Amino acid sequence: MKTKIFLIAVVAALVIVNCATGEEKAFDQKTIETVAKIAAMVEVDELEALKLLETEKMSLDKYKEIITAITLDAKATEKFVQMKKAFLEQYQK
Amino acid sequence: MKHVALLVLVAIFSISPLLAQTGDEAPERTPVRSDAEELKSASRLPDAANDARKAGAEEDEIQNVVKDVQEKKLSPEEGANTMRIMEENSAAGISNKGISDYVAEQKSKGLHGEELGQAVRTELQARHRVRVEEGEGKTERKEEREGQEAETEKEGTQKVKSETKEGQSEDQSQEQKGTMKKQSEEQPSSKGKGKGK
Repeated sequence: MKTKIFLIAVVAALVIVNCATGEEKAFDQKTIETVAKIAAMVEVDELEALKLLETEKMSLDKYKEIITAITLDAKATEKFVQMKKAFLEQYQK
Repeated sequence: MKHVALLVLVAIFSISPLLAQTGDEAPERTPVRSDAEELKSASRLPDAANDARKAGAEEDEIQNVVKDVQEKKLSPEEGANTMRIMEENSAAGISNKGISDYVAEQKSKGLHGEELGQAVRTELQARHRVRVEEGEGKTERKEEREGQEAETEKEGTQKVKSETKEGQSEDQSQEQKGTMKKQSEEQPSSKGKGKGK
């Protein structure tokens, strides 16, 4: 019984520590692509970009959260910039 | 007992996200802006960071500025502007060290947007000027010190030379005196010899 309680306590502690430090990487390739698409659209048509945000079921706060998380990571930032550029070229045609 | 343990586990799982959120105090927000504007300025944040990185800006400072945006201490626009200034500075060879602290300090004093950007730009230029002047001062002082050392060395060598010259002349004069004495001693005896004849 004591072992069980000890195990539960360890798991709980791990969960708490994980949540407290909580710098989760809120982005993957797909997420970067989505925000890059929105970021490119906002340069062409702001209203359309807001609509796109809605379509992606993403709140503005969530969008900002993802953008800042990407910006903290140099590689992800570079990927985002490249994708945004590609989408922008596509939208401007 | 099993149920109790399970309940405890479930309770902890449900509470932990709340615990994680308690640390984030509601930060003061910069003037209300339209969603489109916010979306636009947020979208430009990675571009600004990318350009700053490419220009060689300090990664710590970039991270600190972005974290300030993340914690909503700075608006995305202010963050992007700060990083644009960092990019300009790095391109001009000016250090950005301490910029994030300075931005946070100015922000707490109530500066926003363009005013904040201007303050940061002025401060960094002033810091750079001080560094350059300090650097020049150091080189000037170094040159002075080197000059003084060279002079003292010259003086020292001259002194040594003159001392050796004096020593030599003294020796010569003593030698001369010695020969004179010898000659004078020899002369009376020869005189005496002559007299005796």
